[in-house]
Amino acid sequence: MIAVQESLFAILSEKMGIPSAELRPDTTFEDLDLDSLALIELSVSIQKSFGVVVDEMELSPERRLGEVVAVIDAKARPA
Amino acid sequence: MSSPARTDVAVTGLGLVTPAGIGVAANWERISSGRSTASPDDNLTGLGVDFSCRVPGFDAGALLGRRNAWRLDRVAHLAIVAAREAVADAGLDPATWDGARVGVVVGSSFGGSATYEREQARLAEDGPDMISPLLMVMAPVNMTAGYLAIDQHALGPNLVVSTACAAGTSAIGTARHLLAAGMCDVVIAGGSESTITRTTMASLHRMGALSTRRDSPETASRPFDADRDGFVAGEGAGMLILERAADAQARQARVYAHVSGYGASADGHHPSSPHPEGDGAERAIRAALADAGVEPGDIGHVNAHGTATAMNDVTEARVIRRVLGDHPAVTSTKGVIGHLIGAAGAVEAAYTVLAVHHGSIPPTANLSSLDPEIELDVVAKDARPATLRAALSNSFGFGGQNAAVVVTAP
Repeated sequence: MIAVQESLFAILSEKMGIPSAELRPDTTFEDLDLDSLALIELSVSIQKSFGVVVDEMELSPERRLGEVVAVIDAKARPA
Repeated sequence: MSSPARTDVAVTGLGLVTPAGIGVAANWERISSGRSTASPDDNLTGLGVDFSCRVPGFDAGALLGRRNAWRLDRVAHLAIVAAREAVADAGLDPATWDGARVGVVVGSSFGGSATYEREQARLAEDGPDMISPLLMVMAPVNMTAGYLAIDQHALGPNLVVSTACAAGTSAIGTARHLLAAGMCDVVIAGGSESTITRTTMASLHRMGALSTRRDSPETASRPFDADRDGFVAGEGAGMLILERAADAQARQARVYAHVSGYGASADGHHPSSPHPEGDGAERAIRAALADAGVEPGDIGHVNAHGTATAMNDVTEARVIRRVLGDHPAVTSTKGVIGHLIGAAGAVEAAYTVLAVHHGSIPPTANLSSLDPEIELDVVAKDARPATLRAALSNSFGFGGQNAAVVVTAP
C-alpha cells in the first residue's frame, strides 16, 4: 500500500507537475485542479505503471488520493 | 472606388521568444550581431538534416509552472511567454483591463504538431486506449489563441490565421483590421511555431527545402548568398501589442512605431514554388504601400522573407527591385534565427519595428558572397545605422500566400 502511494504520488508530481507538498491521502483530485481530461491521462499512466485498469467512477474528480491508492492496491494484488 | 479612412495602429509592446533568446533585449543583441544560432539537434539524429535553430534554455516548467508544462504543447508555451512580455512591455495589466475589448490574433502553420506526432506513436505502440484525450486541446492550430485568452484574460475576438510562412504577417494585418473596424481596443498579435519534429523535418528535407550543410550548421542559413542551399528550420514566437494610435496617445503609452499598411495576395500558381515573376508578392507589397499611403521612395529598409532557398531569394530580390528600386537597405534576419514558419512574419515585423525604433538595420548572417542575380543593397557583417521613416516586412508562404506590412516611425 505504501509502495503504491509512493508510485502514484510520483506520477502526480513528476508527470503532472503537482508539488509534493500538496499530495496527501485526504486530498481530492478537484483540490489539485485535475479535471476529467487530466484524469483520463492519469488513468493511462496508472495502467502503464501498475498494470491495472481504473475506470471513470474510480478516478472521478471528487475522489481522495487515499481511496485511489486502495483501489489500485486491491486490483494489483494477486487474487 | 473610394478607400476607407486610414487608421494608424501603434505598436506599444513587444515580446520575443526565438532562437536569438528569450526576451526583446536578448533578441536585439543577437540579431544585431549577425551570428547564426543554428546548431546540431539531438531530436533529429539520423535524419538527412540533423540541425535546427532552437530557443536556447527554454524551460516551460520554470517559466509557466509545471502544470502548464505538460498540459500545453510547446507552441502554446512559446506564445504565452512572448505575450506576457509584450503585455508587460506595453504597460498594460490583464488584471485591470477590460478583457472583452482585447483581441488575440496568432499566426501558426502547424499548431501542436509535436503532440500529434507523440500520440500517433502511442497509437501504433500501445493502441487506442492509451491515446491522451488532451490531444484534442493540445494539437489543433486554434488552441494557441485560446490559451492566450485564458492566460491574458483577453476575451475579445480570438483567431488563429494559418497562411503557412506568411501567417505571422497575416496576423498583424488582421489585427490592424480588427482595430480599424472598432471590434476591440487592444490586440495581442503575432505568431508562434514549434514544428521541428522528425516527421516535419524529414518531409521538408525530402522536398529539398532545407539546407543540408550538416558539417557546418552555423553557416547553413545564408540568405542572398551565392552558396545558399535552403533554409534552416527554427522555432519561436513573437507578439506585438497593437492599439489605435489615438488610444495609445491618450494613455501616454510608449510607441515603438506604427503598423501603417498591410497587403495580402495569393499566387494561384503552385503549391510550393513562388510565381516565377513574383507576381503575387508584388501585389501584396504594392497593396501594403497603398494602404500605408507611402511611396516606394519612402521605404528605407526591407526585412525580406529571405529564406535562403535558391528560388525565393532571387524572385524576391527581383520584386523588391522592381517595386522599390535599389535604394532600400535589405536584410534577412533568418540568417541568425532560421525560418520560424508561421511565427516568422511576426518575429520579423518585431525586428522591423525595432530597426525603426533604434535606427539600426541588423546584418544578414553568413552573407559572404552576394548572389550576382540579387541586385540589391543587402546589409552584411555589421549592423548599419539609419534613420528610417518607413520600412517593409515581407512574408511568402507555401500555398502561394503572400503578406507584407509597412512599419513607419511614430
